Amino acid sequence: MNRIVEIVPLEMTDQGVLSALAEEIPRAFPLKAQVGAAGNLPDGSLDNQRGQYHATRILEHLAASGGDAFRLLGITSVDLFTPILKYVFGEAMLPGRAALVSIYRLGSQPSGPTPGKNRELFINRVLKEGIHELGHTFGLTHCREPTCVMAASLDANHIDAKSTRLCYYCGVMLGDMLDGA
Amino acid sequence: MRRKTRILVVDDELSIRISLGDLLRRDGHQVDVAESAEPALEVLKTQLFDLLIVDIKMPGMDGLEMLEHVKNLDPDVPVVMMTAYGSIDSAVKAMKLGANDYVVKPFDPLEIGMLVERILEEQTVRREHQLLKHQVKTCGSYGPMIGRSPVMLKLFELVEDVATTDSVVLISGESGTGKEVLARAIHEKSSRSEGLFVGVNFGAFTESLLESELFGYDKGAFTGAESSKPGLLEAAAGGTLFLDEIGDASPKMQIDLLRVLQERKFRRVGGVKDVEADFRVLAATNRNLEQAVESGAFRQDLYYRLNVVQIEIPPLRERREDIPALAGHFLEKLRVRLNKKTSSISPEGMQLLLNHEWPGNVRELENAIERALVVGKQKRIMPEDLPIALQGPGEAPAEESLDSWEQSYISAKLEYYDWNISRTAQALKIDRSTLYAKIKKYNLSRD
Repeated sequence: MNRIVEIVPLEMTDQGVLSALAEEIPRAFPLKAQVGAAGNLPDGSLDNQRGQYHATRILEHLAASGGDAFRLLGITSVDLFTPILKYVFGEAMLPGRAALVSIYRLGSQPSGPTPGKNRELFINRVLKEGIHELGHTFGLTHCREPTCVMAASLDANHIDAKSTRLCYYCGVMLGDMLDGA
Repeated sequence: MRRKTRILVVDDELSIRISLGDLLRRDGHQVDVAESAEPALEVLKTQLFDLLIVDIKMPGMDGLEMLEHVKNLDPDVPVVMMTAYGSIDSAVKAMKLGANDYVVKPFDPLEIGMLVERILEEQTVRREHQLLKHQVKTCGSYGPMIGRSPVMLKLFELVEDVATTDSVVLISGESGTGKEVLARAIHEKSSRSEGLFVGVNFGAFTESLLESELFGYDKGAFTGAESSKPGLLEAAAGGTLFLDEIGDASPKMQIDLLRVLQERKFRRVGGVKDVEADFRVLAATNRNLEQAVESGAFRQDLYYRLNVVQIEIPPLRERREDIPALAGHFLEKLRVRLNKKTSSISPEGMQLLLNHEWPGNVRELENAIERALVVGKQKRIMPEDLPIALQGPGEAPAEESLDSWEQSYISAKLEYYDWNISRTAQALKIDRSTLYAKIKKYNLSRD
């Protein structure tokens, strides 16, 4: 199998974000990354009552999509939720083939559409969340080291506190998992 | 040791069970789910969980009724109730029934993350506290001295036998092993406990001062002796005289003491009347008195007078199995005195305590716990709260205990890293094949 991470835009047109992800992912994982063809949000993923999209349904749809990519990272501009949480920055299979990130809440404002200001901060958050969710697909759980990219992202402050890299121990675990993959 | 926490989620909605289960698994927890109260209660009869997250509104037995059953089955397991928006009354009722907290669905990610972390932390502290108390409660003791090592249990038996006699006891041991503590305990158990326990430290006074302190003096005995004063030997009448650091006694003082022990009487400095020596003698030394006798620094006849029953307190590094109980004992004692809420020791902190060589013995351990309580900010003693001297690379104890020490150390590291071989090997600074060899050698297995 080709060890390529395919970045799949889902209602997402910000090319700067997509290319930044394609550049950064190989720095965090020993994998190649490329931006693939745009996909669609599956029917029924919008919850009209909540006005948000069901992350798990999108993830299942993404994972079932074709191609021989080693991992799939969906990236979307819509606001995501899971039944138990008011919102999520992203979702991933633990472990599995697909991960998903929303840029909706990663702007300079706590919530709301993507920002115009402070683009660097915004891009950094997307990179961290993309790498974080991909980490889950290799079976990595949340890390207690706050600067590790696998640290839990409970709010934007947590995202800003961490780096785009795995800590030493998560790196070792990733190595084990890739060896066994 | 840090292990995977087990959480049981009880909710009739499949989507909630799935999404909450996924959320908790991403945090590294082991998650079980049940679709209603009845199967959950069945599971709870045979399995232990660190946390229960239970929906209040469920068909059949609701969450509140389940909570009452849970509290009967296991009153210590923490329970968080889930409720829908607008059902706060039920949540309040749940709190009255013993729930630890409640959370409104859907959760705010920050709120649920911090809530679970807090409750699991509290649960961990509670369990560690219970374990420490159990360690203290189940170990042997003599007065305030405690220990579970075979050598200390034997020592306690010997002390029990000699305490009620009037025999002279020579207590030896390194500095900080608790020689005076033991002497006081012997006094308390003796028939002389109504009398005073009078201690004299031979390393702390000059010879002339010690002489007048010990024997007292009569008026005019020396310049400035304007009135008579009884000494410590008289103060000890009916009680116990504790001769601490007896190895430091000067040659003249050794002769004076020999006379007291032989004749059972003495005179004040400048006095003409004999005073009866009505006390029991306990002596202590951190020196090797036999060697001192051989070198001529200590009188042989005095040594024989003192060495009727010898009790040697071993250094702490030779009885590491006593460390958890001692640490727990000091933690309980000092947290009350210092008015601190710290009630347990983290596994990492305990590992540092177990690894240290303790040149200052039990006294150093007590000081380390006190320091940790003073500087610590959490409910448990963390590695960084302990003195710097403990934080260097630990040294393994020598001799026959090396294997058992290594076995428990490797086992603890494996548990801590959830049996991840790479991570454990990295932490131990050995390669994976060596770790596998050690696992085989000690026949270690995951539960």
